Amino acid sequence: MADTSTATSVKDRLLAPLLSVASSPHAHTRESIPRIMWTVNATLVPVALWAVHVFGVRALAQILVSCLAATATEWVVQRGRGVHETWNDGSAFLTGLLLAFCIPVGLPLWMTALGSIFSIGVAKHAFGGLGQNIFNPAHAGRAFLLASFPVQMTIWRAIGPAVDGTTTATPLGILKEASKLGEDGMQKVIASFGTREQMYKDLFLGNVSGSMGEVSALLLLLGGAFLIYRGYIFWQGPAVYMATAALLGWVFGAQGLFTGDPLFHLLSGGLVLGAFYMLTDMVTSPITRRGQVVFAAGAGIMVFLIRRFAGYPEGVCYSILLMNCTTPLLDRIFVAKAPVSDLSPQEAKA
Amino acid sequence: MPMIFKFRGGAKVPHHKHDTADKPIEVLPMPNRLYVHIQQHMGAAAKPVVSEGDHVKKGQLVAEATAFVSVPVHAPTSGRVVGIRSWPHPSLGKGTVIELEPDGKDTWLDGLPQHRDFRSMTPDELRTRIKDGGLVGLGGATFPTHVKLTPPAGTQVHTVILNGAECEPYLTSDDALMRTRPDDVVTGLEIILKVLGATESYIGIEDNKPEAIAAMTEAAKRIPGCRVVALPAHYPQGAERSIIKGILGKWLPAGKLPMALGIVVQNVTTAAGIADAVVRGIPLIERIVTVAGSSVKQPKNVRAPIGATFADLLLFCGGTSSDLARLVAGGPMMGAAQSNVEAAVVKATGGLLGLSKRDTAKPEPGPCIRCGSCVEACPMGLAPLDFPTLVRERGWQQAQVARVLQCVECGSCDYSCPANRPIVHSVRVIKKALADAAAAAKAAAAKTQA
Repeated sequence: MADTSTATSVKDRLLAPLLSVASSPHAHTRESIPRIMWTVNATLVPVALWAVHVFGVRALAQILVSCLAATATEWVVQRGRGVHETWNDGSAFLTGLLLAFCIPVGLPLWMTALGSIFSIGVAKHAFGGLGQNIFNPAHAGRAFLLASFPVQMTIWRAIGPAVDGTTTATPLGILKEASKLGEDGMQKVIASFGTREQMYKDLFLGNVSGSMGEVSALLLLLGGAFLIYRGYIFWQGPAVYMATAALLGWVFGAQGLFTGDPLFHLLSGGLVLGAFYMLTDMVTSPITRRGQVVFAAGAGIMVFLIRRFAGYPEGVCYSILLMNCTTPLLDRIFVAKAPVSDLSPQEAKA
Repeated sequence: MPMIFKFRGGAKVPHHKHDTADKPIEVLPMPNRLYVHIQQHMGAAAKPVVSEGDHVKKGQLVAEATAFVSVPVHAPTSGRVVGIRSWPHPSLGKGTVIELEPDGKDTWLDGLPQHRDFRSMTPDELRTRIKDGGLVGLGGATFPTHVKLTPPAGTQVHTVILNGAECEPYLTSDDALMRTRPDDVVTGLEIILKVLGATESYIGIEDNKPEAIAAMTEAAKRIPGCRVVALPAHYPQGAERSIIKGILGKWLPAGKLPMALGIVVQNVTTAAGIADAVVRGIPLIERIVTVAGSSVKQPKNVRAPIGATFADLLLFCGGTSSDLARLVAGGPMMGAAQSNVEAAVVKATGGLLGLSKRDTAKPEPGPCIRCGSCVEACPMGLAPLDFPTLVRERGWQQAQVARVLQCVECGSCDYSCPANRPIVHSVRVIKKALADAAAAAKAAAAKTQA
């Protein structure tokens, strides 16, 4: 009797609705995939604005087409596959944005759209969708475009909202052409800027021709710093990547040992963009810090090898795609390492 | 300033301790029924020694230990045994209880409480009194205390650490105890040192409890060389490995027990309970329960008899608001969700949380994006991202199983996962499947032999 009366009064006075039961923990971080992805997108807004400022409204069109095509492809594929729909979580949008950042601004818009469709439809979803892809989708899209449209993908518009479509060579392009002819490329590059100091300044601030997202090292560094501050990426990866590429570029210069220009190698091309936004892609990079350091060092070596010896002037894209292949291996090596036991040999035996 | 060692991983979990941290302990009025579980510890359940209609006194033995790894259970107050029946248990679903109708007189068993000097007792006598007092690890593990104080032959324990870290959010019951009964905690520590013949002692407390640190530092002065260590408040600082690392700078690899290195860790509330049992002869019949959470109207630290129902506690704390979504026995990181309000307080119940939908919000799980948050968070150095995938696979490899079994279910990975993956739940599913398979194999072997 007493039991039932207790139970009734409890129900009346506790106002308890149905209690939900679940495994612990019963608390959860406020972080989520959409929050991470949209934050990364947001840190790229200044870069996008700068690209529009430098290259004119055409840059905006490239970004819109790329992002829209990527998001739409994600939606169509997920609908078609009947899987969990995450087209609005910001990850497809980010792929589109990053792809737009590593193509020439003058690329025909339909090619941009095709690249985006490849990035999402093939590089991402053919491997199983979010979290399953082996290669960075944006870079895979760029590689696809470069292989399919080698001419259009290497026409670089001169900076400034050029109506007449003046084209020019990128600093790395000048360097590569000169080295093929056996000339001192660095002198030519510096000549194109005026002085060495002017070169550094233009490279750093973004007064230089190239693809849209590769122009301003400053804005990319600021965005990357914010991602590190939020804990979305570790600083070790970008630091090792950039340091390796710059160091090797300096040691093995075209005119003999220690004749290269490390700062030039650091600031030119897509190294900074790649370091903070592609190398650190959560899905395609190793999950441990130690794995990421090895991954970054390997990619840094690749950048140098491609820039110095291969046919392409720039090596960031392929350096990261090639290292993406090693991610499962690096995870196997570095994951599941128990913490250091700090025990003395006698204690360990006990 | 002594060196503080940081353990690997963990999670930045909001502390939520302010609601009860500076409040006095309130005593729960005796409920009209107590449901005293016979399984309140790891190991064999106790066996009832009373039957329906018996009259018992406060502190009287009502269920005896049935094995070495088992402890007795005592009556939390005087009254009549209504019956022995099945009743909701906070962590086991259901269990057998001795249902007690308090007579309101709260009469002690003859001769209790007493006053005895532990210094005149031998280690064996002390150990017996600790076992007879029904003491278990009160940090939540509920491992029988006397077993932990019985090192195997040839092992000399030299260091004792009292764990007052209380790293679970919301909970302040250890904190309240240290602030109000620091001398009893230190007496308990002295007894533990004497039982083990140990000489070195530490009391580890997270640095978000300055009052407890001050109180314990003052009280601990009477033990030569005893050091109170303020540890960084980082979850799970109170896990056994974390606190050993934090104080001694040694991380115990998986499979290694602290005892093997001559270290014993005991919870501070257990230490106070040891003082009660040895010096006053009072068995473990009540404990401090933090009743908190945003859906509890008046969060409090409540001194409650073992066997009080969660409904009793919640009503004493002003009831719950209509946004109550989950009731948790213990802390939010490792506690057990309740399906009703009827389960009874057991020795391990350090907290009872009424959490709202907002507190427990965890969206539907999405695909793993391999961000590595779980790997960063795991204090054991595991790769928790593999576990949810592993659940769906068949034919687990030895190595994979070994990794799962190393998981201590602290929840740091699960908490940190931006894709809301059910990591800890997966671990439990796998562990359960392994245990079931082992039990089935054992049963089959027994059948063939018979």
